Amino acid sequence: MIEISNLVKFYGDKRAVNGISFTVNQGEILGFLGPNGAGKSTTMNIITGYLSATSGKVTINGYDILEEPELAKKNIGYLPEIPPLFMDMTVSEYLEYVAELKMVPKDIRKKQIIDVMKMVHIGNVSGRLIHNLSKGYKQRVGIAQTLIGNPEVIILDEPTVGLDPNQVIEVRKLITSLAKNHTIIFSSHILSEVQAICDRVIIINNGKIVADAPTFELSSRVENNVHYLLVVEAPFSTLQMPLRAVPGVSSVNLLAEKNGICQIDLASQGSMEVRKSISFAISRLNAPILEFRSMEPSLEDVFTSITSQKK
Amino acid sequence: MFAIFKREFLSYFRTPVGWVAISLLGLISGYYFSGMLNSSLAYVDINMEIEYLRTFFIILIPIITMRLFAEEKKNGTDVLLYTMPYSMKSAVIGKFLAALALQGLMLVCLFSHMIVTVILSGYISPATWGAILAYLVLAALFISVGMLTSAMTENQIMSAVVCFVILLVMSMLSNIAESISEVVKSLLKITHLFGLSDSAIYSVGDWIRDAITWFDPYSKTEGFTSGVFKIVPIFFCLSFTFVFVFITYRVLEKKRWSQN
Repeated sequence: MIEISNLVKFYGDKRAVNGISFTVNQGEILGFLGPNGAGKSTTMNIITGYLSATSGKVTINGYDILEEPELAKKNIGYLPEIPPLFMDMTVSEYLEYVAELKMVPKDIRKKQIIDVMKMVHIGNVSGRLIHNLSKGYKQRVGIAQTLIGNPEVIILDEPTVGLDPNQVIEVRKLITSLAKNHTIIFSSHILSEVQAICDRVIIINNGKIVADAPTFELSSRVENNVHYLLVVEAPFSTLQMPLRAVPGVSSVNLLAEKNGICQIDLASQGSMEVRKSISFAISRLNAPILEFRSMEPSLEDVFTSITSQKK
Repeated sequence: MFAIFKREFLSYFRTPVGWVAISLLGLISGYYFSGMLNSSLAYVDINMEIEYLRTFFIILIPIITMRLFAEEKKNGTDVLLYTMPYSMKSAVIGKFLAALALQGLMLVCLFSHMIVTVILSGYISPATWGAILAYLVLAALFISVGMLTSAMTENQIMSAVVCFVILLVMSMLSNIAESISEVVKSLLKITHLFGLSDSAIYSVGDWIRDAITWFDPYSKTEGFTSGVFKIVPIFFCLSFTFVFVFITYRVLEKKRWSQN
């Protein structure tokens, strides 16, 4: 479906994308994960033909994006980071324009626009100026734009950035529902989001792929090192040794100490259950626990755990 | 091509630009026309009005071309032009034709004056049609310049200013040529460089003046208003238009490959 081999893009002396290769199969939802500036948008821009790679090859459905751009682009719907919306058009005018650009035959254009508007629930604002829509609606119009022409591949660049939590959930639902008929590449810098939606995750950093694995496999890798946040009303000096002594605890770090209250970062090794022993250890010291929770692994944790595993 | 043309042309009227440009031209031409009607000569010459209107190109054309590409770049909508199964060539031509069509639509004011002239049993000389043709090819040339400056920047004002300066230079090309030739003549005389005789210096100066004036689109198309129809000026304007349209296309394509 999508084949990318050895993609390189230079910006000046910097390699923004440095030898990326991967394949996405039909019907797959691929999460493209990486911190800001990792090369996610550049890669997506190259896949969609907005930019050209310094070297490397992109084929969509067997069509090379440079050699047969028109055929390749017919198979792609692309939503860049900033949705390409014309503020002076109404929603239906805009979708009609996109349909013309995508060369949707005239006789099915109207019907397709109505279908797409239904799919992303923007039928009620079809006559309104895009300028006057809320951010969530604008994003949905942007997604609607990718669906026009019924492309097989949909590429979404950080589609949930800047939306409120409800809108984020809606957009995620929408993406999952699209997966039935489309192949989706979707970028994000939020780990949990990718875990919630995608079948497979590619993690990219400094223009290179650092991990390419099914989502469940990735989370198990990350869970090798579970971090806990512990807030206890006691001096750190008295806590440090007893906590270290708990079997399975690999590190104890003080995050902050103020007014006799400590914030501690605890890491446990592997999948060992340490919470019970920790709470017993602290109660033996007669110190009240104010907060105790496991922390979501951050993207940095994923990087460190993955790169350290590689070594 | 038609999709882009349609969007671009209609968007002139979704924003104030189209209305402002048309009313501005209506005001200017109306003022000139009523002046002719009121003058004691009671003599109306549409050709003179066309010639008068041409001098406003340097203001009107930057206004109607500045947004063509600069606005799309700024709003990020240029992604559509690059990622749709639609060639950049037809996008460029579509936008060019939209601006030209607006320029053509502005002539409505002129046509209404022609109708008034006929009603008042005035005379429209056949040269008028030649003058209108010359007006349009000159507009095409200037629009292609404006489109190019718009493609080179994200800032509409910047595009308009640069376009204005280029058009200003183009409209003053014969004066500039004259000055440059004078300067060259004086320099050669004072420095005795190459040891040329006075007559040789004069002919060098004239040659430089003629060479620069050759590029002056205004003086090239001047004859049309007096009924002289020549194919060379038409060809001149259209070929330069083609060159600028092509450079616009290359500038936009280059962005894809840019590594900065």
